[in-house]
Amino acid sequence: MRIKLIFKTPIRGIESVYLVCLIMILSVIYKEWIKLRIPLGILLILSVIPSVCLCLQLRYDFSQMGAVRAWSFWMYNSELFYTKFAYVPPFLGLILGLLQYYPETEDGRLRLLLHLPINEIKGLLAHQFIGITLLISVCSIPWLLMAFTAQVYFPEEYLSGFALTSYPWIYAAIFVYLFTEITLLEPKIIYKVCFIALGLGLVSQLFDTHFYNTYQRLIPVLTPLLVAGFFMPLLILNRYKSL
Amino acid sequence: MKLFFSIRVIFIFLGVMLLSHYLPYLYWLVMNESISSPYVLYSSLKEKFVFYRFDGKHVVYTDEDQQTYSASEFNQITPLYNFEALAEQGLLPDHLRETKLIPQELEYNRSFVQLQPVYLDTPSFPLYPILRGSPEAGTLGMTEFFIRFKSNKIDLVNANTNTIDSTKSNQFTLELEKAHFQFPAKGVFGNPTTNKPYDEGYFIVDSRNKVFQFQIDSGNAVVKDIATISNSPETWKRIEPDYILVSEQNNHKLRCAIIDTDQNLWLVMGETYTPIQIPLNTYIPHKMRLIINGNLLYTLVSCQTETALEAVVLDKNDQLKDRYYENLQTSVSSWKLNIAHIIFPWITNFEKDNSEFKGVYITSISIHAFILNLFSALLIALINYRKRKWNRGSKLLCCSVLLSGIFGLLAFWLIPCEICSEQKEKHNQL
Repeated sequence: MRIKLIFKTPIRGIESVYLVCLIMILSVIYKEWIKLRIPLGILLILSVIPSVCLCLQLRYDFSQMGAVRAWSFWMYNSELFYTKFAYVPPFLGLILGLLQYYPETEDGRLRLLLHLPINEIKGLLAHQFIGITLLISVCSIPWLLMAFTAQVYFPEEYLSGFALTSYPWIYAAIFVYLFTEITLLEPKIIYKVCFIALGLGLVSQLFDTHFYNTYQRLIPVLTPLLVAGFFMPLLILNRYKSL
Repeated sequence: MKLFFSIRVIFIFLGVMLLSHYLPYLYWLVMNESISSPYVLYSSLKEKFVFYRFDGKHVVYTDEDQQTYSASEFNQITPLYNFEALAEQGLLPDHLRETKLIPQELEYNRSFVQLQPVYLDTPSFPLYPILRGSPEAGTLGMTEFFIRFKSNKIDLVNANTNTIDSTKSNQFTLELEKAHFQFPAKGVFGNPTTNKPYDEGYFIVDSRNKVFQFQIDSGNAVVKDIATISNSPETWKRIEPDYILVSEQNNHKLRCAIIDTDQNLWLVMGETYTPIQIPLNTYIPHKMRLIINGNLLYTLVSCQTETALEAVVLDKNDQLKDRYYENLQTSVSSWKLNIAHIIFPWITNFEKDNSEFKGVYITSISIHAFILNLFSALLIALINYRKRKWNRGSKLLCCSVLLSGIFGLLAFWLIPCEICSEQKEKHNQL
């Protein structure tokens, strides 16, 4: 209804092109929101449940072993209550990637995107923007819950360690999401296999957390790679388009 | 098209990075080579260095003159290390060079400390537990207090309430300042476990590189300026500690080992905190494993990597008695190494032996592989040029092979082109 109203307003010249482009991008985002909101709610519940369990486990451990032992185990044995959460974000990334892009590849529905009155690059980036934003939102709620619980029981150092220890898992979630998208969009099976191998090779390196803060020095390497990764699916879009 | 080409280059870069890790890993997994280093001891009977060596199938007992021993003979020539087994068999001699050998005394004087390179580069928080009681009374245990070193003070954090005890914090800070400690602390070193004979507290290096010992006695802080209480204050002034390994052995002889900023090793001995510089010529703390093995008569200090072993032995008066150096032959077959050097221009590791931190570590850079890369890239360029296919894709392939050899070649094949091949053929036909 709102879109129709905007079209009816008298707009002229270059501004109208930008406006149509903006409307189309917002429409894509809206379409993706409509498509994903119910599964997203389920995923949110699925991600919050393990984090609530881990927080309750932490409370139980503190009552059983006492704060001194819990602190010592954390500092010297690197026993971190949240490490079991590590595989939840990539799992969410995988599910979200499948939910978002599998329907697009069925019966070549992605071709619709290529025929919208906007640049297909912007269209795909809009898809990714909404996907990654939703993924980060879904991951951040249980993450914040655990951070809040950690703050109650542990000193301030724990929180910085929590952020530096768990950031690779969020990065892994985004990489899993992007490689799921790339694999689904790639037209040839042989290259699908190559991308799965490449994605697994990269993501598996992000879960070797046997001590806290071990990935601290990889931030300057992983962050540019993550930014570059955001544009990687465009290569596959071009291949899809060239078929 | 430039955008898509750039994205393909990023993909190839990622592929090269991962292949340069996984391919060498798989190669050495298939080749199945294990590297074992010898373990050195000092024979008090023969007054020679003796070794446990693993030849791939069995443990071989030898001395520095390559004379071999059986396991039982080896125990007999090293009674100060293997006295338990000898005492059980009734083979422990009564005396060794006018020193009476009593198992309880040998046990009391036996010490073992090791410093792995990884200890020097590991994540940690500036938070240290305070211990209470004495192990003699069986009461050495944790208190609820943890000390946090800040830039100009210390905080005493109560773990039970997760709050700072301001009164005690101020009191402890004042005690440090009274001893002329200058904030901030450059390093705090301790052994925060109850599984030890006694508690030395913490050795703290202040901003002027002076070493202090910080202990808690009946709830009060006791701070000692080591240079002042030592019998060698001038030597202490020369030491700029980089790392301190706190020892806490039964006999209280070795208090700590210090690695200074010039990579020298110092042992701090006895009640007088006497620093003794250990004359290890090849010791590199960030690469070599250090073992300090003490007994009733000697202190053996050895450092080793996969390729070298150096050991020195000090007598009862901490004077240098003997020393040993050996270039270790790697047990990896030379042909396997040669193949690896030819096909892999480098190896990317995401972890290394001497650090707990993950990173991108490039190792085993091979000039031979880069020469091969150069010839391979020239050959590819020549073939493409003759086939009149000297386009952007061929140039990318040449660059990939030139810079990264087999990794670049595989990455180029595994990452698809910007457009599908069917379309490309149509394009070429047109």
